[in-house]
Amino acid sequence: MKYLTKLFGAVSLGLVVLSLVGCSGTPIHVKSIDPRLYEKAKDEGREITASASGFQLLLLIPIEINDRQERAYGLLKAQAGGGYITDVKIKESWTYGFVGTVYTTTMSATVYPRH
Amino acid sequence: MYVVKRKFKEELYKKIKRNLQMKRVILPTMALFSVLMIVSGCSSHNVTIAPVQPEKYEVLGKAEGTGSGSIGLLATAYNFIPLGLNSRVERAYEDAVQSVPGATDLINVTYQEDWFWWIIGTARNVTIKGDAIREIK
Repeated sequence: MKYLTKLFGAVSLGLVVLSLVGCSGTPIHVKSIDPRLYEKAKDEGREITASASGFQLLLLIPIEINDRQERAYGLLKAQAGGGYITDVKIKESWTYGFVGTVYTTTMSATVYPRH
Repeated sequence: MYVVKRKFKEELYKKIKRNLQMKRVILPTMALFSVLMIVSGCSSHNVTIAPVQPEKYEVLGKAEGTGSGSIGLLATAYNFIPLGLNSRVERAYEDAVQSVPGATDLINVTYQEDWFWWIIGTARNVTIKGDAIREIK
């Protein structure tokens, strides 16, 4: 009986720890750009889009979940090629995956070239 | 005795036939409903988190807002019911703008998503922080 109580306690503690650990996403910082910087290139703006996904296995096991916004933003910046990124939009979506859920972050923006 | 047996058999055949007919209707309907649930409503809108900075504006202070939602229920196989999940980003941005009276937009935005498991589902919490501004026209 004592053994069962200890086991139950350990499992409960494990579940509490599991539900609290690794549940914070990496923050992304989007610096706003002064529109005067790209005033001359206003006609050269182009739309860019980037996305990153992660999988939440069995409700509480994160696989590339917590940094997907950071990865999506990194890809967006790579597409911008050093240009001015403005008007940043974000879309969060999910897909049922039977043993878990796929989460996807899609970011889009308008980029103006630096002259 | 023979008549009773025959009647019983006929009744049994009728019951089986009725059950099969019901299955033919119910199963495809359930399958269609499940597909519709999975396909529809699994995405948020395209939410602007860092709009184009206006030429003239006044900074009103630091803003912060959150938006939460969950996906459930219970076991992983049944984890396709969104509970406020698809609107969390929109609500977080609105909450942040409204956290500073008079603000119309945010600049220099920080976006973060946290999650936690709460036995019957998984909750996701979006936090948006930034400088609250009011455009001067």
